[in-house]
Amino acid sequence: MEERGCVEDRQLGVVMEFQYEFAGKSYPVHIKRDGKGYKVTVGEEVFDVSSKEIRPGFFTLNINGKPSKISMATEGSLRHIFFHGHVYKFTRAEGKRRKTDELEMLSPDIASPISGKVVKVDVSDGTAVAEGQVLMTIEAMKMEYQIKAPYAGTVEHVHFKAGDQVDIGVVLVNMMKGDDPGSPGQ
Amino acid sequence: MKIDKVLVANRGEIAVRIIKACGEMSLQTVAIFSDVDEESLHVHLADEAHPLGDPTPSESYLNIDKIIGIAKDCRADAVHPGYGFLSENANFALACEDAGLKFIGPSAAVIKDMGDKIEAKRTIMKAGVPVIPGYTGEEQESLEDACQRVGFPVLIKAAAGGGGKGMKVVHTKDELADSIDSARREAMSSFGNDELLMEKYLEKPRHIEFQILADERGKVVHLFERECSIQRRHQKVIEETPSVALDEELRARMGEAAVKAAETIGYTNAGTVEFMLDKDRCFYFLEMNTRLQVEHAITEMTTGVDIVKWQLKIAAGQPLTLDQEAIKQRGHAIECRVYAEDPEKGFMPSTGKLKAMEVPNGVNIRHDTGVREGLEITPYYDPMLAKLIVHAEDRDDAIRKMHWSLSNYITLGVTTNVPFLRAMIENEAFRRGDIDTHFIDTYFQNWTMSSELPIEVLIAAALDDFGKAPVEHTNGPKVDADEHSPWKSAGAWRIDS
Repeated sequence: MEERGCVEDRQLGVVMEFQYEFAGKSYPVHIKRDGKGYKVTVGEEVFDVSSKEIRPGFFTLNINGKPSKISMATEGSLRHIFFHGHVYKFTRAEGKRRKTDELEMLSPDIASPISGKVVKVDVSDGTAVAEGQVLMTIEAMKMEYQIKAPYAGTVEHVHFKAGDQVDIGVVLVNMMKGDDPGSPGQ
Repeated sequence: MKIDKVLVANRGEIAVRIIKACGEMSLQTVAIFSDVDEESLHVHLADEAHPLGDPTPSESYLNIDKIIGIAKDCRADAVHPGYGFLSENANFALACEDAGLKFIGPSAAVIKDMGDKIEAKRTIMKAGVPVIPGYTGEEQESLEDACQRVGFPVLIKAAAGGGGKGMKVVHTKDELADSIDSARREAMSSFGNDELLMEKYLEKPRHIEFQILADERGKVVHLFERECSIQRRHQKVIEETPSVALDEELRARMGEAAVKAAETIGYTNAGTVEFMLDKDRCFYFLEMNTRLQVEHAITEMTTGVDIVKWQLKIAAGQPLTLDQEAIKQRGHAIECRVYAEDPEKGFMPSTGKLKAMEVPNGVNIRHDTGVREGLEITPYYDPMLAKLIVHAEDRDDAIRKMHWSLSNYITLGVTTNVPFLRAMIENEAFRRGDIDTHFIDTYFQNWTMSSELPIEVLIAAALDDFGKAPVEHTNGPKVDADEHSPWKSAGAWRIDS
């Protein structure tokens, strides 16, 4: 994977490459200044682009002569962009990031998808679980959400008990994949 | 009784709605807020605002002692409970009465009778209105046995609640024990009471409810129906009025039944009689909501009646001057509930900072909300951010208006169900009016948004990152990133191109 960075192009100025990831796909984009506007390359296609900020976060883009309204908010590597009635949430990939599937193999942990309160824990350290089996139940905004095993395996460690408050993203349960034919190094 | 000052015992869009109505009637308003709601819209709109502290619902908006204490300290005359929280809590209505505060709603006795869904069904059945077979807790049998008697599928729900909390559909005997456990826990945490009811789960049912208004002199009128069949986990998502399922004759019969139900129990103030209408056009009394409904706005749009103002006038002892024959439905209204939730992740509530918010505006477009740009959406309360309501001359026109409005509804930072709402509005069955309470399960089981990033979105992201990147020149000084911001350049293009 090519690293994002600056390339000095003596003829045409600075060319930069950014890479975005959405729904498991990578999108490399090249961009450079071109007079008052920009030339943006996505795949094989080159676009003439100019832009204007209407108010903070709200923009008008002109792409090959066609205007579009865009709203955008960023948070670290996360991008939220509104276009045509949809909000697209995606990330800007950093150069040295591992591929997503690689990460999943290395840390098969179950992270909390919501902030809320643990109301019930159905497994304990060492429990063997089937795919889809309920591990624990979290209550948020007065509704209950079941945390299910994404794959068959063994529970290594349960980090919370009923009554605990959990934040979004914290690891709830460490799991060992059970359908793996032996662990590395065997 | 004279009402000069009203404490609004709620938060979010409904607190805002009530404060505005009070303001129009020159009544003083008192807002209450928990620690996480200090910046909320309702706090700033009210004439005065008092803190509740700890945001946990039981310590804040559900804390009767704290709320009554504030109401007495600030010398309020009346308390408007809104919907949810303490709105259907008879103890709260009683505590208000005991403290000499007018509770804006029906009497504590009526709330108790109707809140106890068992009592409600028995009373309404006596008035000659049909009810669905089920289990009320009084039968000489267990809930489990009653499920067997009625036959699966069955619906289990909290005896004390509404709004989908503590409700479970059970399809087979195997799921029964787990579902009962879970429903009891939800019921306990939402309403402080884990009693459960069960009823036969009807096939292809529509949820049709009638808005009623009743003064304290015995006059009752209805403001026609609302169709609320588009539900997810028994929580309404899209509501409309009139319902395409009713003709004049059925509408008149159901309206009469609603008025009769209200008269039978001595109902006062605004309320809603909920019915299920099955595929054979038989209707059954479901429950009575003894409060203002979330979806009251569509009724206001089509009848021109301000329901919240009538609540205040009725509470002040004024007579209902609306006559049934004079109340007409005009045009068609639709409401979409905007929730902070992720439709692609099992409708998981989403939290975070609302970084940008721009809502559509135009002829007959109404937006009721309690949030604004820059506010933090917390996990403590219901995830509804706003209600988008449109009114048009007919249903097709209303659908087109709603579609346009949703397409121009911008919220960034917190994931919302807006794209999902738009997909439902675009659905062919919805457009035909061919809907029932299983609509979402039938057509949107594994709904996902587009999995492709449009070119416009990629270009916008790249332009932004280009502008923010520190530009490294091999010769010469470093240039401040902001000067390179693509958004600062006017761009050499024209709007008429």
